[in-house]
Amino acid sequence: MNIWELSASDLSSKVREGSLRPLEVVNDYFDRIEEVDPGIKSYLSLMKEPAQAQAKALEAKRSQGRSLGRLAGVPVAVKDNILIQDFPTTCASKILENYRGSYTATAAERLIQEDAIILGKTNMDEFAMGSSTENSAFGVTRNPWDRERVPGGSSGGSAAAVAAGLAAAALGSDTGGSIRQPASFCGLVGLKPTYGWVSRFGLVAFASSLDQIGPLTRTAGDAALIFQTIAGPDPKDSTSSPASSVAQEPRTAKGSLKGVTFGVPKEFTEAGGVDPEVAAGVEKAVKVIEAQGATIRPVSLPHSQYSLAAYYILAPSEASANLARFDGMRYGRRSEGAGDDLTALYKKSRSLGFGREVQRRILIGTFALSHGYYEAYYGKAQEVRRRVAADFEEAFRQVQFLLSPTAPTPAFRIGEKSDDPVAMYLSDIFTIPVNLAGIPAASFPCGFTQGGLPVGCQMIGPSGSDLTILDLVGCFEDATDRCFIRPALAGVRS
Amino acid sequence: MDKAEAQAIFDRVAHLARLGPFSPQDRDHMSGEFAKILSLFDVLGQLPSGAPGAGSTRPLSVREDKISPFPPGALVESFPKREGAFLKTPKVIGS
Repeated sequence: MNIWELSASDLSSKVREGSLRPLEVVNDYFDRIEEVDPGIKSYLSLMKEPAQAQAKALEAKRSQGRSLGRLAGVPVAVKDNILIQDFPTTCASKILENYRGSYTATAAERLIQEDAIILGKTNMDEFAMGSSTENSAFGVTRNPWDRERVPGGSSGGSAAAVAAGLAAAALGSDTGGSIRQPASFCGLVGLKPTYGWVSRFGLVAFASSLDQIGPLTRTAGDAALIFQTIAGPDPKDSTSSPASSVAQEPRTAKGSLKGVTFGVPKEFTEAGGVDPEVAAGVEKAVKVIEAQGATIRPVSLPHSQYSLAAYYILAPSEASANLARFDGMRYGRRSEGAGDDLTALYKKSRSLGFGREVQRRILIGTFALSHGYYEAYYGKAQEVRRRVAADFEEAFRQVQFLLSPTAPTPAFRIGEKSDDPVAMYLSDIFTIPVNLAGIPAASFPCGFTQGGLPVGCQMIGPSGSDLTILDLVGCFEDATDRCFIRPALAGVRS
Repeated sequence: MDKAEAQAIFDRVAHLARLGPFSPQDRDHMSGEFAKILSLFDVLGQLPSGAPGAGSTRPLSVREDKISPFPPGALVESFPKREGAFLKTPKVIGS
């Protein structure tokens, strides 16, 4: 087996026991990136020299007899809206083209402390606004399963890198589905953690009440390994939850699907626009789970029909405030030629610096917060948010977890939805309610379409059940005897 | 919402958001998209009345928001560039 084919868990075990050298791992990955990534374009910037230096330091640490961290030598990719000190963080936006992090995000810092090696920063939809990674100012990332298709978004670069074997694991961020939908499109496990369980310190804010950093990996076990490393309280993030310390505790028992009750929301199964192959794939997964001794029941989330509208008011409203600082003065590239007019300079810097989708969302958010519209839009959306959370609470009184498709379709073709923002927004219809409620959910691969595209199933749980969800996904992997299936990458490798 | 109304709202919001000016084609296209997205929100009008109040849905407790002592001068000392009692910042206007 090639080094890049090893799971993060196996890789760290081999490095810790000494059968693999960290430098060997890092060099193998960079060779593969050089060979494969020109056809995928998952990375925006690479950190080859610091990664090699860190690998050498790890080797020295080992030769001195010091113990290595739980992610020893694991090559990780980081989405380009997560800060790494002194390295580029562009958010795939022209306005931050030359920006370098002035500090390192807590989530990334925790990976480094456990001896993971960061390979580089990955492509994304600009400021995490999008579902296809087509909104990057620096080019489109291609899906390793079919390069004519999108990898999903906004964490599409992270997902494509892991699926193509260009990183053993990756960090993404999820505001409305941006980890789970690309995980679904690329055949990976992706976790959106409970809100407040992973520090947002050093994550460039899109919608602060919804954003969460989480892992994209090839297996549920790897996702749990990364999640346990990055989760936990952080005094640098005021929304960090003290309850998240539970996630850092050592675990021994493995879960079982036997006796677990799952609900299938009827609003999701009856939703129009679900691709028949996606519906069939998820139905098959539900049957596998039932065959393992779980109980399946229909449940109702009656306000989920309002989620999409509420999300596309709340998230842009927060974005319009968070992105106000990028004006060419406080942050961001300043455009020349505006004369002495300060407002003209702001407008020019922002109009040239932000892409079309970011401008669109800033406009929606500004509108929703403006005098005369606030109550009808923002106030109403907040009301929906509360009701959606209450729906989930009621559902979790009846069942322990929920199952649904992650996305209504498999990966779509590049350009297929880029001229229709509303069609693109509908990609997130099953993932958005989870963010509104602040609860955890994971996407996991449950099959393939006849055309060979991965299909993702979403498992949703109550607040704080992140690791149990991953345990249960692991049980599904065991039940289906499923190891990570790699894309063929036809036409990519030389 | 007719085209003229959509464009008037679009222009006002673009000014508030410090975006623009847009070319006539871009303005036409973006205000059309803007109106289409606003129509997505019409569903909220069907929400039954008597809802619980607005606010955060986060079910978790967060750290206590308490005042803690701050050593005198610590704020100034933490600033990367200083000159006596003054804080030095990069020149912005005319740089």
